Amino acid sequence: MPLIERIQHLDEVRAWRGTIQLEGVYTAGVAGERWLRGLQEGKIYGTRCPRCRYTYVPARRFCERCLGPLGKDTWIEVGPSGTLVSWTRLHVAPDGTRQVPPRTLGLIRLDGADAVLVHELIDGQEWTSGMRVEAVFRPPAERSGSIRDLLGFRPLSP
Amino acid sequence: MAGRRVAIVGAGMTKFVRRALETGQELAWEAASKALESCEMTLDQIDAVVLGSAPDAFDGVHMKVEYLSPGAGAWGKPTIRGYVGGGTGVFAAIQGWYHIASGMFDTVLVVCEEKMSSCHPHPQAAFNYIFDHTLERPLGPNLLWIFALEMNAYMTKYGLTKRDIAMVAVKNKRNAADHPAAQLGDPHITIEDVLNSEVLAWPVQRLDVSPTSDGAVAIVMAAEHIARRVTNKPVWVEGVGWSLDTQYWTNRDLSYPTYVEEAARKAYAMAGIREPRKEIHIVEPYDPFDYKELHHLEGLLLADRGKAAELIALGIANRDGDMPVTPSGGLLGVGNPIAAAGLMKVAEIFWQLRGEAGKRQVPGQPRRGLAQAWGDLMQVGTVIILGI
Amino acid sequence: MERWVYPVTSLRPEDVEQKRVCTTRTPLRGEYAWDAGVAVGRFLTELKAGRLIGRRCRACGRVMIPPRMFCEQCFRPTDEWVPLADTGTVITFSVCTISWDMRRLEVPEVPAVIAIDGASPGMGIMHKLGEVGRTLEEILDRVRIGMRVQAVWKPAGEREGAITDIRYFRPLED
Ligand SMILES: [Zn+2]
Ligand SMILES: [Zn+2]
Repeated sequence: MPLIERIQHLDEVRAWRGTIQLEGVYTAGVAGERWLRGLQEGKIYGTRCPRCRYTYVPARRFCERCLGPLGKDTWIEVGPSGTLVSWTRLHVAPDGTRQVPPRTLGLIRLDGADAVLVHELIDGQEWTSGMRVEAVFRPPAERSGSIRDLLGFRPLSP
Repeated sequence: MAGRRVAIVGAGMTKFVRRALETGQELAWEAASKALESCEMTLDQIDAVVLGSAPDAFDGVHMKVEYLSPGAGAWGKPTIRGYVGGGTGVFAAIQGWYHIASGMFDTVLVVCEEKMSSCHPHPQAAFNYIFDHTLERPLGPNLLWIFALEMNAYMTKYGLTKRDIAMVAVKNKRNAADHPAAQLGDPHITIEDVLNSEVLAWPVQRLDVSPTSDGAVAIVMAAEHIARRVTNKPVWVEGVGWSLDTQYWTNRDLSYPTYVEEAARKAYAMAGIREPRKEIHIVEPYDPFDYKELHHLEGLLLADRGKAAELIALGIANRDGDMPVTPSGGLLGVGNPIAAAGLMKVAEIFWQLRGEAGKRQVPGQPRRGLAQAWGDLMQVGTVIILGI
Repeated sequence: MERWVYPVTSLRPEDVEQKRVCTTRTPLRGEYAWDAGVAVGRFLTELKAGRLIGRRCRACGRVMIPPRMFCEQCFRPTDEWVPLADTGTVITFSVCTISWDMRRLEVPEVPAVIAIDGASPGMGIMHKLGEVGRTLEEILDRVRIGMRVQAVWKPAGEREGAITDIRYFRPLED
């Protein structure tokens, strides 16, 4: 008693096509709202848990290690320079096409932070882990309270 | 009773709102930290975490529980996500129970969250994808269809009127007026308000339906030796049950939730309950739509088939009645952040049995309560019985 | 218990629309090709030919629609195809006045579960009713549970092997 009836003709193989059409509209949250407004002013903030001695970037409202609150007194400015922890170069776009020119993304540990931030690496040719980098912001008039208010990170000018 | 004794020792929640500034993570943290604070426990005293959340499509975050985990205290801890659609909130508490009853863990933090406001153009849209992709979705269905079809089948079979059913919405929205977390409490709502509200999918009208909401709820569960140390008012898990009906919903008897009965019978057997109508003092049945409360009371064997509306009409289901039903205000009144709403019902029984429900407190020192949720493609029943 | 309720920061629609708070918008657009599978694949082929079919499980005797290659009750393969009529009985219906994204519809839709003649009792499929009126009142006047209905098919040349090859079910005059 076969479970599968053999399909004799390929044109009988059917698929129903459909699209899932939704849009996510995400609020940044209590901490995220304040953090993005900081970027808009050209500042990068972290929150430092006094119990765990760990500084989160982007800033968070609570510490995931001890679940304690991270109130206003825990906000500190970090960066704008930092150390490149790791990097990658993307040659393929999300839709599978070639990415020309390639994009470079890095993990940056901003000075004063423990957590690393992921962002674009720009204005550079050679990237090596451990090198010093600095944040590059959009001109103030173009900022909107978005992670894109940061254009990316470039090699720290000596 | 199977396994070790397990108690709920703490509970906390966020207010339920239409749209919160807080992220899902922050909502989870608000509820989780309140629950821990309520029993004066800290995260390092928690052995494991159970997270409940309904479809990822609401928050618009895939692997939602991994995303939520920092706010739920799951950092570096054994963590699991239970997911049975709308049944998730009660199921998460059941999972917390078996984590501890099994002997594997002594303390579990159970957190349920939903942030439906992220989903555009309307959270309703996320439900389009529960329908069969080949045989149903091409017809352009929406979620209300399935409820409306079930409600009509139920009304017609038992000769119930819209008025019979609207009484549930009135009772629950009035009860919710006394709930500090409620989104839609209304002490003055009348049956006429419900009957005159906009028709969405007849017989379903606007005020027959719970709102979409953002919110989170958390409870702390503990093994007996810990529970007695943490609190002098532990609320014990006496019975649990869950069951799933066929996904072929158009092949089912839509007028009766067999799966709820199956879940309830398991829970009653475990709790040693022979006469549920006498032995259950408070009920929090799942009420995303007003008729569902009636449907579920019947499935829970707390009313004869087609007769649950009489409990409402005669005032038996009121807070000061013989068997208070949804004293919290339910999904219709407090709000419906899906998974969180189910766990809110468990938390309500916890507060009621401890005598801590404030203005909503049911008189007569109730000793045993039941919370139930329901979900997936209208096919799962999840039941928990709590007692002191 | 008021102490254990966290007062969330509630936003109004205009807070988002007028960008008083930072939001990020991302379309979640996925395109899928869902394989119809063995049972439904055959069902679609029959729809194109203007026929409804079901599957019988000899162990429990049920004739099932939508058809499946296994019986979920007996947990064994089903045994044979059974031709069904394109008539049936309305198990339940609704009159829907809004779209999936909560916009008002000019003419309500009438979704229904229809038990198909020739299948076991209570075996229904979801579809829509038509020729039953254009307003809520008209439709409620004409449609009732238990009403006999028949499929209205697209012309053979327009059928594509889809559930929509049946335009709708209309009342059967007997
Ligand atoms: Zn900490
Ligand atoms: Zn069978």
